[in-house]
This record gives sequence, C-alpha cells and structure tokens, in this order.
Amino acid sequence: MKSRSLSTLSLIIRHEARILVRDRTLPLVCCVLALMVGYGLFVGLAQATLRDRMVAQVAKHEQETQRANTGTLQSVLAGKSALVPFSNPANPAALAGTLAGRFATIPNAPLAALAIGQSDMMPNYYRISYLSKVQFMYDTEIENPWNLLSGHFDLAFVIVFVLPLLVTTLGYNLLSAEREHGTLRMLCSQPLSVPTLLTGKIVVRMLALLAIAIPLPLIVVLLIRPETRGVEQLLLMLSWSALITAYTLFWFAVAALVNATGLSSSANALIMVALWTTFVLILPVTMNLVVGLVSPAPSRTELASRTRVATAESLREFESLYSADYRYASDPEALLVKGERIEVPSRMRAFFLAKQRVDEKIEPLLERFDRQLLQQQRLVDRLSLLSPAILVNEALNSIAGTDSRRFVAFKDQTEAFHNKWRQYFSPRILESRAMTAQDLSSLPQWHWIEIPASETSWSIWWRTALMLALAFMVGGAALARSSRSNRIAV
Amino acid sequence: MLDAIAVTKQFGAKRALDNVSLNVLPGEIYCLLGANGAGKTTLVNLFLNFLQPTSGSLQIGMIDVVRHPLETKRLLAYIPEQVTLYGVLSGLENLAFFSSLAIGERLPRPRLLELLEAAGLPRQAADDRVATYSKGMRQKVGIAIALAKNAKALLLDEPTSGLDPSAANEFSELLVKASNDGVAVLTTTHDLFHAKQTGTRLGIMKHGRLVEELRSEDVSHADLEALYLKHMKS
Repeated sequence: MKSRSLSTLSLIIRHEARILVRDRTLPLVCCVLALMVGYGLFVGLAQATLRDRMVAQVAKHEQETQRANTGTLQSVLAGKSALVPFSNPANPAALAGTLAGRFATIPNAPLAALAIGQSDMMPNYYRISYLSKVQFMYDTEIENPWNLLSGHFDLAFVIVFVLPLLVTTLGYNLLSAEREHGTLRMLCSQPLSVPTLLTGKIVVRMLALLAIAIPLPLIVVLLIRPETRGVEQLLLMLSWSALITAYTLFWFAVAALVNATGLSSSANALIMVALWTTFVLILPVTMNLVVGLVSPAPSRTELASRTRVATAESLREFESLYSADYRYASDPEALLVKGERIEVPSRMRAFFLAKQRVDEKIEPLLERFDRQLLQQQRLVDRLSLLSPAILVNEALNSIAGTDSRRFVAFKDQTEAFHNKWRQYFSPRILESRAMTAQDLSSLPQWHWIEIPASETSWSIWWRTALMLALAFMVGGAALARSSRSNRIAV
Repeated sequence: MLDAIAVTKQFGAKRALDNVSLNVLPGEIYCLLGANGAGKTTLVNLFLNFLQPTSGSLQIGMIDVVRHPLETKRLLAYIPEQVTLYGVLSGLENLAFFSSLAIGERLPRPRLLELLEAAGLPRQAADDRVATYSKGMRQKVGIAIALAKNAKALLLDEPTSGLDPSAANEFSELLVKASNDGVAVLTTTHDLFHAKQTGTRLGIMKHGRLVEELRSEDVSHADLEALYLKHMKS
C-alpha cells in the first residue's frame, strides 16, 4: 500500500512538472528567480570585494607608514632630521596619535557575498590612536539592529522577500485551479487522496525553485571565492541550504493551508498576499516599533553632550599642561633624542591624558549604550519568533558573517586593542622615553579573533529547526484539513 | 455493487436527500431521473465521497465509501456531465495519466490508442491537445479512462447532456456493452428516451426522495413519460 502511495506521488510529481512546463508558468517563474538570484549575488559579491579592497588598502597603508616611520626614526636617531614633534617617530606621543597609522580591521567572512546584512552600515576598520574611542568608534549612527537590516537588493533580500512572492505565484491556486477547471473532480474520483495530490504539487514546485535558489549562488561563491572551500564553510553552506529549504517549505505549507479552505483562486491570492504583507512587512515594522518602545536606542544627543562636558572638564584638569610653551619652535634641539629620552611637548602629553580621562568619564555611559544595544538584540531575537522573515534574515546574516554579533565582537576587540595601545604608550609618554627602532617594530599588533564557530552554528541551527518545525506544523494542518474536507472537489 | 442505505443529506436547513435507498447490481444500468435539484447529483457525489451523508451509509462492492474512500474508488469509474481534462496535454497523455492514477501502472501506447479507439475517438486526434477537442471528444476520452480502469461500477452524471444524437447513441451502446460485461452502472439523466432504451431499472427522484422505482421492461416510452410528468406535477 505504501509503495502504491509512493508511485502515485511520483506520478503526480511528473504530471505536474509536465503541466507547469507546458503552460510555461514554471519556466517563467524560474527565469525571474534566476535573474533575481544572479543580481542579488552580484550585489553581494561587489560589496564583499569592495570591503576586501578596503581592508587590503588599509593594510598596505599600515605597512607603508611603518616603513616610512622606520626610515625617519633612523634618520632622527642619527641626528640627520629635525622635525616638528607631531611627525617625529621618536616621540611616543606622536606615534601613539596618528603617526603610527595602526588600524583595527574586520575581514569579510568567507560567505559574506550571500548577505550584505549590516556590513555596509558598520565600519570594517577603525584607525587606532590615543584619541577617545568616542571620537572614532561612536561617530556612526546608533540604531536598532532591525533598522540596519533593510535597504539592499542582495541575495538575502531575494530569499526573504521575493521568494515567498514566487511561492505565492506558483502556489495560490494549487487546488483551487483544479477545482475551477473541473479537473479536481476527475482527480478525486480516482484512488488519490487530496493530501497526496497537494504534496506532489508542492514537491515539484519547491524542487524547481530550490534548484535555482540554492546551487546557483553556492557554485558561484565556490568558484569565485576560494576561502569558501573549507569544511567549516561547507557546513555553513549546508545550513544555508537547509534554512532556505525550510523557509520555502513554510510558504508552500501556508499556500497548501489556504488552498485547503476550499476558497476561489482569487480569494486564495488575496489571502496569500495579505499573509506575505503581514509576515514580511508589517510584523518587522511592528517589531521595530516595539523594540524602539521597550528598549529605546541610546541617544546620540546625550552621548555628544556628555562627551563635550567630559572634554571640557579634562581640558580644565590639564589646563596647566596645555598652556605650556612652544619651546621647540625656537629651539629645535629640544626635540632631539638624548640618550633614551626625548622631550614630549607638554601640550601633547596633556592631549594624551585628557583623551584618556574623557574615555574614563564616558565609559559608564558607553557601557549603558552597549547594554541597551544588547537588550535590543535580545528583544529582536525573541520577537523574531513572530515572523519567519526576520528569523530567516537573522540566520542568513549569521551565516554570511554580516550580523550584528560579529560587528559587536569587532567593536569589543577594537576597544581592547585601543586600551592596549594606550597602555603601551602611557609609560613612554609620561616618562618621556624615546622610541627606538626595536620599539617601532614591536608596536601592538591588531589581530581579529573570529567568533567561535559553535556560537554561530547554534544561532543558525536553532532558527533553521524552528523554521522547519513551523513549516511542518502549518503543512501538517494543511494536509489534515485537506484530507478531512471531502467537499474540496465539489 | 452500488448500495445506498437510508441515505439522508442535509445542507443546513435544506434536505437534499431524504432517506434514499437504492441498490445497483452487477450488469444493471440504473437510470436516475428527476428535475434539477431533485438530488441526483448529490447521490453521485456521495458515492464518490465528495460529500458525506448526514445519516445512512453508502457501499461499493460491500465496502463503506466514507470509511474506505480510496478502496471504493478503485472499484469505481466516473464520467461527469463535462469531462474536464488537461487542455495542455493530448487526449492520449490525459488517458495515460488518469489510467496510471487509476490502475497504478502505465499502459503502453498501443493499448492507450486501442482504448481511445474503443471509446470512439478518431486515432488521428489522439495526439492533439485536448484544448482543441469538442465536448463529445472529451467525453470519449473520459470513457476511455473508465474503460482503462476496468471498473466494477460506473457512475455517470448526465453523460449525454450536450452530445449530438449520434454521439449519445454511441455512448449508450458503450454503456450496454459495459453492463453486459458485468459492470454496475448508475447514471443520472433528463433524457427519458435514452433512459428507457438503455436502462434496466429506472428511478424517479423528487425533492431528495426516490419516489418511484421500476424495471425498464415493465413500462413503455409513453407510460414512462406520463409517470414522470405525474410525479413532477404532483
């Protein structure tokens, strides 16, 4: 009996494929999807390449600066050059500022082309200096995470927004068209159950869409970006495929449930569009409002005001140092390295100390900001259960490494590196110790530490499992309803 | 073979079938007559399990239709008033699909052509798209599907409606042939002439009730017409 059911299912699948190809619906929808997937992938690849170039240019600039500083330092130590203090690499305050040209960079994750996510909103490098971190890390808009997700026509957009519309195009009239054409009576007079018919219809449509949406981007990224060929990346690709399958299945299950109600094709189409609008547009916007209300975004105005106050207080605190002389202007000899020491102009020392003090004063506020952002992210995580679109978008960004967690980790690591940078220079500036060639070659180095794969996998797989559970739940309800409702054929 | 036992079907306040019992034996052609809305199609829909009875039961080959719908459909072939097929497929492809669905195996092309020919479809039309077929030609593909199934019972819902006299006559001949092969045929019709000519038993329905049942050989054309009109007017 089971083999009979399977052969019936296979018959329905073959029959459906033939009908859809003959009436040109499937080729048309597949062409549209292929074009959109191609364009979305192109946008993602272009964005990833741009960011790769930025990081490479920054690294090149860092190397060139290092070489230039080494040459200048040798010249200064040999007494050949007399420089202004700001461009003297022997001066630790100058080097700690912008002269060293050190950068913190976040490389693209290997699968970055699959979803732009927040990568075009968040910086992928910071210039490290002794300046207050407020000046170089918080100069971009602070925004709730979901706001940052919108606005790209990338592959994730095609999957989250467009794919359900194509599923609707192929699935709004799964049963209703058969009923309206009269063929459903012919079909149901045969030993064929409506659930088998529905399943066969869904399988063929789903396979057609997935045959384009999944292999095409994966083959392209595997060919173009060699870093995607590792085991870890292949596992991520597997989870990406599972996620898209689950999401597509969910929308087909919704289409099946709508069809199982026995309404007309036009009513089904309206219901499907309403559901798409609700899940993909209204719920995310509502969630955005809820997140903003429950956990408001940190105020930029407050941060700017507090920074100004802290800066003014620090200026007052180190007033005496700021007002010190410009002796080196009339006495260039004052800037020469004497033994292991160099005169760090008091104004530069004041600047270093004042910026450090601003960070100390502003730290509690920044911690509160970070807590608020974290709260928002948690809220987004929880509320994402309400909308499959958000659930999938978040997981797609995690797979591509363009989610907020990776950028938060980048910010945390940059902060830690910034502190390390200051700690390295602090004794040298305060004790007026001249930089040596050895010091220059052993400056703190930036190393990006990737988020543990286990953490990313967990955030992806629970979303995929939830999506699958949702799809099976809705699909199960659709099949149960269609098997109970005999009137479906009348 | 086809048994309706005290079947009642209620649609809200409207009673479409009221305690109807009938039985069609193998080799019998049972013609159900009645005005529009008398409940004939409802009874056919109940045998097909498209509807479920409010009370009573329906059996095909002693198997309950509601409890075992797939099993009963294996014994049954159905030809509606409008045989609707897939317009983008040819008659042969439609037959191949529906016959595979019915019997669980794909018949070879020569056998499919043979069935279409037996149903009266010209061989040269077999590979044309059904969208280009006339109603009569679609009806013949429907008959071929029923023939392929080799069903024990045949349900027909006004099958000759809209057919030209020659096609209707051919159709009647096929029904007689099927009944001679031991198939139980239940057909609804408004055509008293064909009912008398092909039916072995006749039933007249009115307002959901089976008001008259008689053997075809016991009445003349004129008597049948008079009896029918008497029931319709009363």
